[in-house]
Amino acid sequence: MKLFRGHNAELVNHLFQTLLVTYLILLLFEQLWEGIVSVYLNLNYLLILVIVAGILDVFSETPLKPRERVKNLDYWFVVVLGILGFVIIKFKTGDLGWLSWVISLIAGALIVLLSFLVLEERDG
Amino acid sequence: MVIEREKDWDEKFEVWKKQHKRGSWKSRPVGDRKEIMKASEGIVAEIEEKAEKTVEEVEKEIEEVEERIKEYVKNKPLYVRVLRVLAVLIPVLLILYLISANFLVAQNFEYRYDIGSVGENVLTPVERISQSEVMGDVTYRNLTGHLVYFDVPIARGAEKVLVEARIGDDFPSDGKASLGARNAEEWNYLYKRLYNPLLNVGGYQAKGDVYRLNENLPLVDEAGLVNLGGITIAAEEFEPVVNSVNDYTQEDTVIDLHLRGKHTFYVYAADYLEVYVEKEDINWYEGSDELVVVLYDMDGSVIELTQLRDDGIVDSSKRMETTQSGMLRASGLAPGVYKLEFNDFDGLISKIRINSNKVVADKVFLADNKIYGVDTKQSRLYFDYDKDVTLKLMTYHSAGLQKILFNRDGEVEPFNFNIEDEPMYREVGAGKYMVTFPNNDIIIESPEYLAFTPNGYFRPFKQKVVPINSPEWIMDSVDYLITDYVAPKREGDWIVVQTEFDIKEDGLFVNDQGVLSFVFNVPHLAEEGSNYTIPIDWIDVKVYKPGVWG
Repeated sequence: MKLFRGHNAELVNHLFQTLLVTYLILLLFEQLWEGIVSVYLNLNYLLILVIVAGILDVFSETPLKPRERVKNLDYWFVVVLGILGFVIIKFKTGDLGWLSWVISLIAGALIVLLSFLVLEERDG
Repeated sequence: MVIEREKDWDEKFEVWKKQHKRGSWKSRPVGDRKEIMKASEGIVAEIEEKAEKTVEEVEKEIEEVEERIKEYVKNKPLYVRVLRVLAVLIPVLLILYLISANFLVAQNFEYRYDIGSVGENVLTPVERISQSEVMGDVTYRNLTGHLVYFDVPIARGAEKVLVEARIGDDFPSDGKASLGARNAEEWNYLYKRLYNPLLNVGGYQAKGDVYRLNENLPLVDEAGLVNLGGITIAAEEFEPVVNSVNDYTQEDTVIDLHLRGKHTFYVYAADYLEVYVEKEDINWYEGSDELVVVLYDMDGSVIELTQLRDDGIVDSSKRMETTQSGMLRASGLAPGVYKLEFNDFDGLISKIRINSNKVVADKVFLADNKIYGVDTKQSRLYFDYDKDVTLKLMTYHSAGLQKILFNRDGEVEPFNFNIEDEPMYREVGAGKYMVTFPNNDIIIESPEYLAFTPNGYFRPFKQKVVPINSPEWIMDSVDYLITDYVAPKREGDWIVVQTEFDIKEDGLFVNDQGVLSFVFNVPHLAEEGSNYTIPIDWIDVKVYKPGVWG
């Protein structure tokens, strides 16, 4: 059963992705600086929208997308994300002492390596 | 039999292998072999050609499909493009809103806690709160313990918090309530008055936190008080301005009186100060009796101190055997007022000589009475007041009952001091006084000052500052009251009380979760056997967060 097809399906997919990324970014900000979002905006309302958009996307036709080649920039982007992940986890687990360094280093490395795997797969 | 048959097969296989492996291709004629090679090459080339064609075709097909997809994606209808842009605008607008709300625009947050309503459990601990009760159309709970807490979310960058509460006026006559806001990571709260019936400021005009109690004086704010002289201020924190004294000389003031207990003198001095002290232990109680004399500047820093040792008698024999003396010297003093403090000890200060003609105290215990083992002889104190003042007089012995003579500008008025163990009050009008105490053994306290020589009186500060919780006889002479206490608004049997905190100035502690803890402090609820409770209807908290644009 496909609720949306063609351009409409693509629209639903786009909306879902946009809402999901927005929600995740705001959630990250809230985790880093508590109250910066939740005082002004109830993130649960946004989560409901994300879930609804996600369900609609599941029941929609998979949108056609042109094949994109993996570029060097993608690898650099992944490295930047890995460093960012490392910094955030270090910041949040700072109270753990030396363990904080271990956790954040492993997490940063995992982000980079797993993302490289995904990129390699796309390229291959 | 079986073994022989197997041998036979092996031999046959070996013959066959030799024929097919070594002999078959080579055994063929050369012409045959060339033909076969030619034919094979042709077949391989044909197969390769076909394979290449197939790959090219597939690649071409893929390219065509991709081209079609690109074309499809490129030629989106207008409504799709518009809706895509609108979808992107969602996060952009959200982030802009959050930036604006957090940093740019001033915000007011209001949190209202209806304490009596079902499911409202903001107050803790539960054992200090009653179940929900109903009075008319009001639901409420009772505070039954003296420390009851509640938490309030505080937005990042918030500056002020105004807390209002609607409570029942079920206080005893001396009951008070205050609200504390947490000001440290560990358990520590900064308290501000919520309700104090003794601070009846409702009828007075105020400018800022300054209430004018004397209507003959101008209405000023705290900065304005600095310029006013000869006034008395009740305040928790106010730094008075030191008065300049024109008739100061380094002439000796000799206090040739016996004084009992702790005394604090205010001395005007410049450059050099010398204090000579004599003391006699009266040994009424066991233990050693040291007298420590400390000189402070007006910032409260110790400049100099000296100690007079015990007389060697540590029992309670009431023997008085020796007079001891000591000297305190301080040099390099900037002209100004200095505080000279004598500690409480089991003895009498029998003589003080100070090289300043300006020495005053606000409380004096005159002890020239035979009850203390010295001759009873009259003592005199002097003062010069600009306004009406109430003096407090007190004795603990019948020996201290006497007729005190108040001589105002030559006009003598006796005062019959005839009550023991209870304070008596004497109102004196403005004027220059000499007061004679024939029997002594009396404690005299003034909201102003008392001098020991006719010309010794001076007002050390332009503003006399007294504690805000001073007794009524002191408050009678107060001209201004500085307090952030707001008189409660009455609503039938209820009163609405309020207080305000400044998160930065008061150094409040907002935790990592952005929560500030408050505590209701109602001391009389902690008293043993107290049957009091304080009904509370609602709490309203307004948090103000300034923005870049106001």
